[in-house]
Amino acid sequence: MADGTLPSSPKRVYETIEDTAALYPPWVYDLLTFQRASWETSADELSDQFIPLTTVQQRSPQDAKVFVIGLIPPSATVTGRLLDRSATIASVQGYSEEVDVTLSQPAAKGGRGGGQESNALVVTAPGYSIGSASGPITVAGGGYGGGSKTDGEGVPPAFTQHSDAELYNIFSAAYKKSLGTNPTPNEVLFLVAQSKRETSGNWPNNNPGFIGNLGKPFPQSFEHNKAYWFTFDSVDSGAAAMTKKVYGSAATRQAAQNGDVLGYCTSLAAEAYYGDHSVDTYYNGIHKDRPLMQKLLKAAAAAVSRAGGPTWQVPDLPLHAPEGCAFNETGDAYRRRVGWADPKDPTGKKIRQGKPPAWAIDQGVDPKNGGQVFASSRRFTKYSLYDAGCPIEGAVPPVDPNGKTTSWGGAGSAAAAQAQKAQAKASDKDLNQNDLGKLMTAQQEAYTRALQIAIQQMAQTPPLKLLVNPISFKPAEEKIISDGNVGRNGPIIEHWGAQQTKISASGKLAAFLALDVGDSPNGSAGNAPGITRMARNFSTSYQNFLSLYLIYRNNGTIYLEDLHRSRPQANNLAVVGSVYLYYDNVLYIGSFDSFNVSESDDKPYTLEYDFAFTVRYKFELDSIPDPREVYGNTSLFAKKLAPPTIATDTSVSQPAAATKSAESIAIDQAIIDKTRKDPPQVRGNSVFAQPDDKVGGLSLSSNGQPLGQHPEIIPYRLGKRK
Amino acid sequence: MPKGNRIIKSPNPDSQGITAPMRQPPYAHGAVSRRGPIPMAFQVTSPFDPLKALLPHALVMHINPSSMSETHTKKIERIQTKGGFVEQHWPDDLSELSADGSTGAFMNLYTGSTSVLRQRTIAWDRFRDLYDLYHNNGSVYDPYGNIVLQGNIMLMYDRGTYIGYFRSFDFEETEESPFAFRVNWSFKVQQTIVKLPGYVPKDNEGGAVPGVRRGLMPGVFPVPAFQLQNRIKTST
Repeated sequence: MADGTLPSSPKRVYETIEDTAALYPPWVYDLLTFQRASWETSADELSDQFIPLTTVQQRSPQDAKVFVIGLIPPSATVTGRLLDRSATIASVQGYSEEVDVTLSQPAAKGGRGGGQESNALVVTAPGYSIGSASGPITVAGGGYGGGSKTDGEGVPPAFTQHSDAELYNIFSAAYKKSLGTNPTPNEVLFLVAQSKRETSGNWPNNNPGFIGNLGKPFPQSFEHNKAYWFTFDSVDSGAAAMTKKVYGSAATRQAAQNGDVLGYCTSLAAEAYYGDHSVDTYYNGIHKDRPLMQKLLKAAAAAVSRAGGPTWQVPDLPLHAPEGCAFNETGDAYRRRVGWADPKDPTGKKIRQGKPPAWAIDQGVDPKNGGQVFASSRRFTKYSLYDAGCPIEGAVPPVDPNGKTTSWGGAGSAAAAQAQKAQAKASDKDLNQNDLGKLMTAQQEAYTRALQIAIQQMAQTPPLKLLVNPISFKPAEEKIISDGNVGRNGPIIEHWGAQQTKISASGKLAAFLALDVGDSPNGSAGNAPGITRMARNFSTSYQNFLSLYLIYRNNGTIYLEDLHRSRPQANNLAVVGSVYLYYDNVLYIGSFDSFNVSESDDKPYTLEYDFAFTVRYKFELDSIPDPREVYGNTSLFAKKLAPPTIATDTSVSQPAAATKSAESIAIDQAIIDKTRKDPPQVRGNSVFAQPDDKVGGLSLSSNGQPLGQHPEIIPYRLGKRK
Repeated sequence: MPKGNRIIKSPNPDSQGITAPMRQPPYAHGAVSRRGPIPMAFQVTSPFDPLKALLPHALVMHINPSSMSETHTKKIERIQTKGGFVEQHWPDDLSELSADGSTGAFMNLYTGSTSVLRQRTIAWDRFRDLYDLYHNNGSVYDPYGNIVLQGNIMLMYDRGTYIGYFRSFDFEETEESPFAFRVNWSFKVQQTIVKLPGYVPKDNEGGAVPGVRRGLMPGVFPVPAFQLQNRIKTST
């Protein structure tokens, strides 16, 4: 590389484990699902009064072997329809890169913009940001005149026209007025683009964005009058109302601050700002020929910059929102899919009539309005995680449990005929007398969503490093052989393969140490740091043990709430993943069988534990030989080694051969020859030439640069020694 | 007088506590501040609400057990097949706590350490408290000795609060300790309540962040790549 550094090679498995494992606190593992009916946790209110300590030296993997325990989620692709096992293939072959859809939660709860879900998530994807700019939030020459309005039935509204720079000033003032703080340039810019999108800068009766339009949104027509527009007395009041509506959600405001165009569009959808339209439609406009929001933002940014405002470098954003129903699904399609639509309305526009069923109320539907608006925006809330297997392409409605199933064709087995007969008997009859079918469908939907969350969470739970390795670690392997029977000609021996490896380990916790900071409501004046029995729960050692215990409790399992609520807080075991132990360069994948803890009066400052673990898979991981591991006479030993094979690192793009100079080719060849002749120092899994190296009398600094900075040095990977 | 209220509170809202003639709170439970000894304590809880304590005061052990162990067992059935091992996972077995220890020395004011008059000692009374609690075990009996309702026993210790029931209780008198009993008992745990030390995410008002506990924390911690191989894919 031009800067003289060689590109880092892909990390090996053991490196990723050692790099990510740490002494994570118990609450990290408490986030996993357990049998909640039998396990309950809460924050310890005395945590602030003690500081965890330990005398155990932190050691790097080079100094000591680390003992790591982590979790692997179940290999299952969970869709809205079924639980399939196709991801098992991915677990072997590695997954293919997909659209990286990010769900994040805003730092603060927003208001109820539009009266909808206030705690909306930002659904977005990388690559849709216009960046940020700093600078003034008003521009020179951006004054604007007062607006006017007309009132009266059938009277066309009065339009006032504003330039981008004027809008920038108008919304800066409106933001401060309605939200009480100074905006960022990005937030104002988004408001300008938003208003331009809705009105092209022509405000009817001082309405900057047709907010509050009553029943007749598009196309705009001069026939509209105040019956269809909210009218405002002034430009300022109109702008303030729009600002409050758009930024009523903290998620929208946050997305605007970040310049996240897609997140902004999605956040607005979560507030039901544009009804049932898909995010992609709003992002692109109805013409779908260009990212409309980007175009508007770019134009507004340029105009504001020209007027002396901040300067943005708006990049070219992708033409469309990424694939995935989060961005492409419409509100009515969503309603059909989750069973919110009126079964008799194929368009999905109409919602179910009457009082919402219990499951809908449980999930936040307001019975007073039937949840119509909520239903369209709900696809962006916490209940609806689009990145996790939303199965639609064009929003296919779910299978109606009460609808007709596949035709049996009138022939076939007797069972099929019987089924057909039963179906005919039930056809055209409303079996859904008590919403049971819809209830089951909705519960299945909720169940798969919960499963998706749990799997995602388990995948993102970091591995735990034990503060102190176990005292004993014993993998026991056994063959399954039946040799107890004896025939007339001798013993009958049957070989059945290998039993699963059983690991038993035991350990002792490091001494409990904590610092009492004192000045507590309980009257403590504080104590010097030291060994403690009373406050052992706060020590580093105990917390590390508690993390281990929580991993044992979870054991790679996912418990989900029984939606049938057969009993309060009933949780059922849904799917099972794996626990892995990493020790001594071996990765053991399996699950815990038992875990015991004991304490006794003769060891008051420690606990002892032991556990049993059954291994499903065992991997001896490839690792980089540490130079210190070389034993014996290194020079003699090295001579006996076969020359290492040299392979070009294919992960690094190389200059095209045609563009290489003869000199650089010669240099490359010289490096190869030199490396084969005298294998250089191994560091990581790349071979580094020494900066002062010379090859075959040819100075590698011939172009005036030391070897390490030669622009055409190609990194080489040392082949595995046999 | 220490700051704050260090008296052990009865979870029973009907309890009036102990007042006169003492000027000091009669007892300060170490678990309140974690700055004093932490005795093991018991309560009887309602058959209808395992978290509702029924006794006016917790039964505080006179002497903590000398050793205690916690046993957790997973229930996994493994079957060998021609395609490999098949595992069937079931919810955990009930955890078990077992403890053993000693009563206090049977000491009478008039005779000192005593065996003959041990029924007239404080240590005996405290031993009988625990023994009676074991007998009761949260059960409600009819006049014929049949159990008609089953409540719970709540065991409180610094490692957590355990709700369950006694499974066994035995005591032993040997010539090695003529003025005390060796006692051991086991306890089955139906529900565990644990306070987690350390950092818990807070929102601006100091409450736990509901979103975090519900589960979304993408990208907060680095994880090995192979953990993500089984990640959820969007169907196409």
